Amino acid sequence: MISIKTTVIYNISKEVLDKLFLKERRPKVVAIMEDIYSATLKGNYKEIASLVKKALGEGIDIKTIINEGLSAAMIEVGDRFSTGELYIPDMLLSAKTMKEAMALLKPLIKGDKNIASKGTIVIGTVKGDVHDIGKNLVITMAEGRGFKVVDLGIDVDYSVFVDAIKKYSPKIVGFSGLLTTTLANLPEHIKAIEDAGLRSSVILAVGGAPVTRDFADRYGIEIYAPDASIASKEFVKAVEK
Amino acid sequence: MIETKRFEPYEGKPDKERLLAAFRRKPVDRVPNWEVLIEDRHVEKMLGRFAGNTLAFGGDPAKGIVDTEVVRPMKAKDYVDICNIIGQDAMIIESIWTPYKREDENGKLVQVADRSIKNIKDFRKLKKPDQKDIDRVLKYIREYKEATEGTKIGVTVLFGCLSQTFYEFMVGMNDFMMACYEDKPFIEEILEDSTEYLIEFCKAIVSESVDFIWPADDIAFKSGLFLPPKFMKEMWVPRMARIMEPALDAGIPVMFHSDGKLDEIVEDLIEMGVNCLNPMDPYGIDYRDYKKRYGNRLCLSGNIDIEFPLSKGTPEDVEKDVRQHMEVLKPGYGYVAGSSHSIVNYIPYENFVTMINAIHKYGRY
Repeated sequence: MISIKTTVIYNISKEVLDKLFLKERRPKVVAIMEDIYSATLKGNYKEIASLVKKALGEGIDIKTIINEGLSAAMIEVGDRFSTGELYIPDMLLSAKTMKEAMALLKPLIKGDKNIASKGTIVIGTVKGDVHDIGKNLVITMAEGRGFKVVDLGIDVDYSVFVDAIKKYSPKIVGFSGLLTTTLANLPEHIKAIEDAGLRSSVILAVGGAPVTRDFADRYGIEIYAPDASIASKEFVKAVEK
Repeated sequence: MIETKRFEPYEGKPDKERLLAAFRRKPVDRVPNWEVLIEDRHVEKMLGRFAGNTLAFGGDPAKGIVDTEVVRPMKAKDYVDICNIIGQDAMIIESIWTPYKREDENGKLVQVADRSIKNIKDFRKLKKPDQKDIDRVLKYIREYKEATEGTKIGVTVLFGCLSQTFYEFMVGMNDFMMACYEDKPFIEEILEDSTEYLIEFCKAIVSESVDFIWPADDIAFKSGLFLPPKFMKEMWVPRMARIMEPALDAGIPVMFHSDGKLDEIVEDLIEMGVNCLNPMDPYGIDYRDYKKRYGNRLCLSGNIDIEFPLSKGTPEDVEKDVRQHMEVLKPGYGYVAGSSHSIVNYIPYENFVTMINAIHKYGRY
């Protein structure tokens, strides 16, 4: 998971040397990172703050804490949730753990281009549908991957999505729906975005029990995901293209 | 040539004994057809008049909590006509959500549906369901029983959302799920309180001679249970068993409804005494697999996918799918045919007609 490498470098600045020194991963650093990963995996939100402070105290940079500790653990959480090893409360506790850690780290991140958010996602359950289990899991996983997510809630009207796109300039707009009957409103949602001249500025995503790849293709939706973990991976792929 | 415009004549009038025999995996003349909900546009086409949907007149409780002073079950005569048109053996009275209430700004008691109940303190401020809520349903049972006199159409009640009322409407999904790990006393209290009411409810409807009971609680999605099996066995299974007990003691069969993949809980349901599992969500359950594993212990119901073939397929696709289901599920009895969810307005009427006609055609023994 965390590799230790040694490199011989000549004529290097102190700043780079410091980073290289960390790259060699002193055992203490390795131990702290493993603790952060483990705490996130297990949902130990009560311990994470002290572990993050410890990491910062040891000079571990924020990007490493997030990418190799928090986000990496959330990826495993998502994978294990997909295979049925973990359940909804497990995922929520892990997400809460990451949130606690990020609450400490965010003030330190501001302006650091190396740790930019992956972008904003606007997500909601389609008009007429009141189910949000899947949507909430997608939000948890997407935040775990470094996205900022704006949750529009349930039974979201066409105009609310349009207004949110104008306000938040998201990279991705996600639609969730549980019933075929309510997913039938999806074309109207897409039309509303097109009529507002916003379609080309966003990537669309859709998910829900009856949704299939064919369903997504039928309406020109770029991202389809059968579960929350895959959805978050697809979001990352989409913004990194 | 597939008939798609009208429901064809079928053999064997609606008869609750057919449904009950299917639940018990006993011989029947034909596979019963069963739908929890036929939406209003289909109903109107069937009856030639507006009559609401088969769960309600004046609202849509399948989509959320409704004002029970405004919304009532489908009128009895309309439902009898529906059953006769499609050969359905029983009528359903909806009482899905457990009615905890609080006063609104006008002092009127309304059911809690704003996900604001976050702890024991919040819960204890609510007005709990009581005999009035039960009496309301008993009144409809009597109405339906009166309307079915002279027929063999049965009556059941859809009720018992032990956890879903809380996670969907009263607490919220995330908070409910977290509380299952973090605030167990809260979860225990709300589940136990609800259980006590639902036991009384079940006793009452059994005394009113319903023909079977239909507890429903969505506890899973397509990849499995929402909560770990260990938690479910401790907190949910014993309570749902207690809720069903009055019916089982009276020899009345139990059909249980949950969406999703139920592999981790089916054995518990069988042990509790459930006779029939519905609707066998095709996004979590392979009906062939379930027939192999449980077909000699459980009646299986539903599974014809409302996305495809019912919404997006052709009538030929629908007939083929019904035939394929029959080939696997019909042998040995213990099969109640129907959709994987409900006959929503979005399903083309032709496909609904085709499905019913195909069930009658291929379902004869």
